[in-house]
Amino acid sequence: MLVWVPVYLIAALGFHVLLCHLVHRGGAFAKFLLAGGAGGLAFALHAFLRSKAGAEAAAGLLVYALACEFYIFLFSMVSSSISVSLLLILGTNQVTPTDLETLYSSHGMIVRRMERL
Amino acid sequence: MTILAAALVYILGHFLLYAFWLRKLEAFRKEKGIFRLHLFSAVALALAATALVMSGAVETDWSMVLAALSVHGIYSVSFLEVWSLSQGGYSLSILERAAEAPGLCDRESLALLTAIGDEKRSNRLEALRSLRLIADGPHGIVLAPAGRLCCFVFRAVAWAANLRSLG
Repeated sequence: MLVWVPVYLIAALGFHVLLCHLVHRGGAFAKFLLAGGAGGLAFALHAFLRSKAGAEAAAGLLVYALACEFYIFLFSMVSSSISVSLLLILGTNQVTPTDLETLYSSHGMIVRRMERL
Repeated sequence: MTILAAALVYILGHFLLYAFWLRKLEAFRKEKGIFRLHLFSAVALALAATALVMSGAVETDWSMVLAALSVHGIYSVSFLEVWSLSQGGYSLSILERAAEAPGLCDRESLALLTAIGDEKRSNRLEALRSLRLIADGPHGIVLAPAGRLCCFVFRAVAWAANLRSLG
């Protein structure tokens, strides 16, 4: 059953990408709960039909859950991390520390966080 | 399933050890210390589980070793996420200030939050420099090769999750 983990994971990620680009209501986290949850349920059903509730099926589900957790961690970090924002700014511009104060101002950081909160 | 049950008990013990003792130690109040605590713990669990399977002391297969490591991974990633948020998140500073001064519109609050933001930006730049993700070029700060790779991965994640408002 472990070989099926990447298949269900890629399907869940694809579903999440589609939801994020086509559905404008709701956040990325809620959409991944739907996509990841659907993938997990489908995997569990597949595992149960193939091998009943075996050790390999349980291991597969846990590996799938870890991959989902890591993906959630990754996009939460990208959406809110200061370090990631600095890297993304530096990826498109060559700037001095003074330019950064304008491109990535504290005022902007406060406004974005307050909007999110 | 014995290895998985043992791993759950081990993780519970690991958490209780941190909650009641390790968090009071200076070494475990920094990100690096917490990261090492979890990395060494996962390596120890992997070695112990592998030794148990190879020696035949426990009747199980490799999938249970993978399951035990996955449970540890879920615990560690969740722990690191919650720990970093509670330690110095900018949003947390805003919430704390809002609790002290409802409205957050007074000059003092805005000046304080701006100062925190400036300090965080400088600290993060230093951290990125020490991790060799960025470097100082002749015309300003540039991405190092590792930084370009990280930037590519983060941009792909931002595109996948359709994240428009970053940082």
